[in-house]
Amino acid sequence: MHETIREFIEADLVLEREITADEPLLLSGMIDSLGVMRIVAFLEASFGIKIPASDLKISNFGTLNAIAAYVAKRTAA
Amino acid sequence: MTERAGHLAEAPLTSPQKMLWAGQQMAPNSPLYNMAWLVELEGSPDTETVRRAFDGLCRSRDALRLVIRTSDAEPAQYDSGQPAGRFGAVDVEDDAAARHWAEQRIGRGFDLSRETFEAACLRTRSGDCLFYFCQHHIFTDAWSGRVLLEDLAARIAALRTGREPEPASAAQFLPRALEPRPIPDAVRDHWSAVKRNAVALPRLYGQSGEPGESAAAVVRIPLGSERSEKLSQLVTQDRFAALSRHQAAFNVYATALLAWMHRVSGQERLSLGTVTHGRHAATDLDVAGCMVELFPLAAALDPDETFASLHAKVAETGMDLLRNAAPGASTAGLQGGFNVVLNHITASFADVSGIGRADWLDNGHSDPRHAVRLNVSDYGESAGGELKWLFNASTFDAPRREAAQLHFLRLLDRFLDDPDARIGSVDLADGDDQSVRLTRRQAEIRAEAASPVQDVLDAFAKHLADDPDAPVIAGDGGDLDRKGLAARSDAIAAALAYAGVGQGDLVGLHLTRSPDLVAAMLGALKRGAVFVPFDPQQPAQRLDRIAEEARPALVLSEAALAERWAPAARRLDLADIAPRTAGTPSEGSACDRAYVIFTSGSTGTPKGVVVGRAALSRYAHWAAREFSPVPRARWALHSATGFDLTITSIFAPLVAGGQIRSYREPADGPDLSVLRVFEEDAVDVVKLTPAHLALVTETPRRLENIRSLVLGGEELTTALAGRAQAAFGRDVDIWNEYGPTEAVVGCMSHRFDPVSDTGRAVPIGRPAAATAIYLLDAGGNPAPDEVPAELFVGGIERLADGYFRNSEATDEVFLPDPFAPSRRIYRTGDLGSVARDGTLRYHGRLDTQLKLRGVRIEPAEIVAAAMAHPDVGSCVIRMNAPRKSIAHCTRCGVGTDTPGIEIDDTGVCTTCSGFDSFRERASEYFGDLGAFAGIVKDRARFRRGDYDCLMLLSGGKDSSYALCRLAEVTPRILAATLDNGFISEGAKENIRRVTADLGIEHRFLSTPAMNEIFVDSLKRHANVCNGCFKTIYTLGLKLARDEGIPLIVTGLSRGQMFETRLTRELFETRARNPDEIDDMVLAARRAYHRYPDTASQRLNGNLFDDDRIFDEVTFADFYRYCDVPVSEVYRYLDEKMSWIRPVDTGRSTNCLINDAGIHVHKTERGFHNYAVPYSWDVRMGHKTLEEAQTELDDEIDEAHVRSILDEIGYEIRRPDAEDSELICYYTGEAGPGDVRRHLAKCLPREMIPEHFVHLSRVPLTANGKIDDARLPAPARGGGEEANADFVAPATRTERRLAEIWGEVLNRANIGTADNYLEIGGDSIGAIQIAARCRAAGLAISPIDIFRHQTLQALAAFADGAAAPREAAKQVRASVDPDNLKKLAALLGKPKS
Repeated sequence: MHETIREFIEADLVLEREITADEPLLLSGMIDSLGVMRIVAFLEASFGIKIPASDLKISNFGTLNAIAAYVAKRTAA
Repeated sequence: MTERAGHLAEAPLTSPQKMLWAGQQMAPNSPLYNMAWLVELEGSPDTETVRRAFDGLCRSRDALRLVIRTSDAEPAQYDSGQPAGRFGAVDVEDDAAARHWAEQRIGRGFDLSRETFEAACLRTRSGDCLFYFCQHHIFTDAWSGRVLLEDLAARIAALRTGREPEPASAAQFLPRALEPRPIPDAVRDHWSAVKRNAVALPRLYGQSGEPGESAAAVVRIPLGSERSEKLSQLVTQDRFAALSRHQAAFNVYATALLAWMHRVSGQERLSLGTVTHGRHAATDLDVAGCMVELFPLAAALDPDETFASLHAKVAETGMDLLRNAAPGASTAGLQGGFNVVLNHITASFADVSGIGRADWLDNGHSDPRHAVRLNVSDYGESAGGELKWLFNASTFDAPRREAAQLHFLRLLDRFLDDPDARIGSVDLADGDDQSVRLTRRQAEIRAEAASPVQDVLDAFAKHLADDPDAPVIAGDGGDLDRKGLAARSDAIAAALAYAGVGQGDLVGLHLTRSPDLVAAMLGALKRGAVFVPFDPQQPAQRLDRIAEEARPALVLSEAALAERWAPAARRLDLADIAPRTAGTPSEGSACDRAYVIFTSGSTGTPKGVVVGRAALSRYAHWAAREFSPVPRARWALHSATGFDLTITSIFAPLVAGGQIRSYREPADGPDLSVLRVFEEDAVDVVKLTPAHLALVTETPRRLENIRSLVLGGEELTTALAGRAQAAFGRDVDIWNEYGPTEAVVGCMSHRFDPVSDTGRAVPIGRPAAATAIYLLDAGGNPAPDEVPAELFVGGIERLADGYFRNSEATDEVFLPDPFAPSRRIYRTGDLGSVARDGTLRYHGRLDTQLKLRGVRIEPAEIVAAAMAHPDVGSCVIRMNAPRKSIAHCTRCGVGTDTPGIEIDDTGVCTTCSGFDSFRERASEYFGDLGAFAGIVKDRARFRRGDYDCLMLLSGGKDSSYALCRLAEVTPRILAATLDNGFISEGAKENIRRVTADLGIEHRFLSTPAMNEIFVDSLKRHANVCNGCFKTIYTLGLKLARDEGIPLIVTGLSRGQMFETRLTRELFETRARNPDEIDDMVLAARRAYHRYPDTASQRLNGNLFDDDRIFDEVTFADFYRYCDVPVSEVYRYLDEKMSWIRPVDTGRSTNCLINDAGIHVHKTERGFHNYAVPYSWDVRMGHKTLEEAQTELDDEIDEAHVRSILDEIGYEIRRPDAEDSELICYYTGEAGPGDVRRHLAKCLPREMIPEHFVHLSRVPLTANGKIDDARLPAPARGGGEEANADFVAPATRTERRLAEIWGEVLNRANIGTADNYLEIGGDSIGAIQIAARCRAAGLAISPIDIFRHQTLQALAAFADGAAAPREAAKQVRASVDPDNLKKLAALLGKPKS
């Protein structure tokens, strides 16, 4: 799952740059809010989850690790 | 085509580009889309290096080579293969000179077919190098600016180190336009829903949302480090956090901006435009080109909304916006939904190496559709942020701009300081605002009240002493001089005392307008009693209600009125009061109350307003001074006595020594006394309502005596005032007086000035003497200039005492004056605003403002617009109230919920009374069973198989009975039933039993397309029966042809025959005999089967390729030849057949899907689809009223219906609960279509009424106000008004244009009166039309289509344009530029 998300972000959002699991994606400005929505759409399509607006927080989307943890939590439920 | 050679590729414009293109077409010479930067190139590179770098940039980036081709219908872009602009070199003195030069250059327009940018290297005397770059927005955006300049700087750096820059590898723009990413359905659906819920454009500071010129004024406000810090602090709170600081800050600004829009417009539902960069993929990041897109962000504010609660809504909606901000998803319709744009800019050049100071230059223009654009430059905490406002210069003049940015900052600062503060609580106005000044004129009010005011009786006594013989009353009921009036009133006072009326007691006045009415008022006051008018024109019932409330000690009346109303209270006839000589001392006037006037309360119970003597006296003296054109003026007493407007016409002349001329109301019929007042022209002043004024203005005349018209009671529009001024001449003063009964008749006034009063309504002016007027917003703060807020009235001796015996109601609206604690103010419930010159304007009632789709609609505004049409006499706007009570016809039972049904005074519906007129002739259409047998036998001669006829059997009682009787005529019958999949088991059993009983062969017909046909029928007709019937007929015809059966017999009831084919028109010409009617029915049948609905498409095959089938197989309706009551049908079936009444459908029909059809019809159309056929059954005597009612009152199992609809795949279209409609009632010569088109020219779409109803006269109540109860309901559908105006294209140009319009707009039947905007045209369409016109040799540009909106006008223009150019110029010059703005406003509006 980690890898799927990483591949998507690297290929689609940060133009082939390698990102690390704990690298801040949002606060660094690397990915902006439109970009996050692309991630959201990707996660929803890939993992069959619906992400409510209230979950769209830095704590859930700030890093690759955070995103993976969030998706794990949602898919486990 | 040769010019295309060498082009690399061509692509249509992207969606954002199209909108820019259209916007530019609307403002052809404006530089509004020029985006320009002036940047300092570090290290002062030499000009040649910059030129080389820039050449490389042009080779590398297609956005610098693209141009636009407009020769085809749609504009397209292609790579011209060379730079689409020039590079210049300029020497300038210094930085300032460079800037000056740049600001001059930015105003140049581009011819986009060959030039889209300009670049220049500016060299200062000190050797610095500045780079100027200006490109049309259609190929760039802010992000692109940075991409290009960053690339340029890198190239310069490379060249300076002697390297050639990297060869071109940058991402290109054109491929994105060639293959746009598909927009997901969910995204489309999201934005369609947003568009459906579009809100009205807010009227910021009372200014219309219409676009002006593109010229914009820029106001820059530094954000300040304190604010920046507070904002950073705020977004650390969890509830204000977001995915990024950028987004968090955006949410805060959007919240503050929406709060500002709300506060300065009063609108609760608002939408603002937000800018998204449109770069969704990493591969988009390095593209130069226009990717930016605008999306609406809407929010609805609740009354107690706080910044934090609005923020939560914004954050949530903002997420939705971002989720759906797919490239190309924003449409022109969406973008027409806002006039305020927020652009939160985060990109700066600060971190670009090689570039020093960078300025994004202002071009001095902005999209004219955006009244306000707020660019927030917020680069985080370190750099100083800035608020850059772009105000549309024609909407926001300098004081408004100043106010706007100040108010926004007050709201933003309060948000930052106290997010839980109510948005309504922020005090926006300050000492410069007129409403604040109004609250500060306390000393003035005290001074005005300080000069003593003579009591009304004392004032009259003084005039009496001065000249007892001077006339005081004339007209109907005789003349009286002052001593006569004094004597008469003394006599009445004495009689009241004698009758035991004490001080402070209530005395009812049930009197016509006459000298005695005036004497009775004075007499009551002299007695110290309180008079209560009982208007003799009011219905007795209402007078009873008032009497119940008032409980008068005695009612003074006159013999002629005794018949009309007999009060429960003691009655004293004025004729029985003996005259007494003048000078008899009255018995004292100690009571401080003068009168109680009853107004209609919102609860339905009349509310008595108690007015004191001092307040009456103060008002009377002020009114006499204010409105009298001459000393001792003569006033007309012509208006309803129960209406406080009339108080003026009696007491102003009495206190001023003037005269009253009385006009008695008629014994019955409408009171049109005001017409006599103007015919006679024998007074100086007339006080009247605007409805009265509209009536008298219809007859313009030279007035010799009348010099002053005082308007009260309703809002006065400038259109009407202007018309009156024109009708009666400039010598007549038209006064607009404002005042609720609770503030004693009038508390403000304004003399109409046709030159300076140009707004919609005549201002209500300034406070009367000793009167306090406050304009307070929902938070109780004085409202800023021009912003609508609630009007409060106070002052010294200026208010009523309160409501009669209703302290609760009194305490609700008579409140302590917050600015003068010892006094009271009255809360009017009226909306007003104050202009910068201090005059007040009225904006209607707070509580009666119509709300349509959540948007406040001010009906007066529509009225004013309609009245501007020369052929509209008067106009009333109403919103059709939800059908609360449904009246039913006493004869047939049909209800007023059925379209087109009205019930007259005798309780009979329009259909029944209409049927009376042709019942006789219609009877000729029907025959007896003998005739039926004849037809069956006659047709049997053409039998080609085993059967004489095919009986369409539903299994219900009617067709079962018909089959039985048919079997008496012939045994050779084939019975057929459509098994639509929902036939009840009971019905099937019945069919089997009945056909077995009769020994008749039977077949079930069916089609796999049945559900599809049901869905189509539900979509088209909101019922299932239409589809089912057509299926039966089609399959029946097929079966008959296959079996060689010459006749089809139906069990159609007479009611169904009238409902579906026997229209009134068929019988209107006596010459039509039944054969002719049959011919017409047959013609209709042919058309019916060929109408391309799903049933035809799926079932017809080659059946109807020619008309032979209709000769081979004919129809006979059994009940045309058999008149039998339903009770007899049941009796027959019960006795003779094994037919059993079905139980499983809940009614006596046989079809289980019928319930679903009925439910859909009731939900979507609002009435029962069986109401009309059943009413016919009753009318024809087939059913009794009770039988019909019982069948219509059945309950429907919604869960079952839902499962059926799910099964066939139909979704109920629930009408929007808020979806009420506006109705425009008007008088005058104009046709409904004229009025509609006229309004479409001056009002936003959401304000155009759905219905237009022409009246010969607006019904008025006795008080001269509009009588809502007598306004007719509009006819449903409105088809005739649309078709009535169709004029076929006549000239060659008109025909050609009609074709082109039809092709582009995808519409048939375009007439010469059709208006481009009304029939759905937009700017892209105009561009396509213009292109096709040019191809057809018609010289028409897109803008011409908006200048000449009707087909006829456009054709005339095109024909004229072919003539010498001079003539064409004149046509253009004659176009009112204001009109063009309005058109542009309409363009982007959501279509309803």
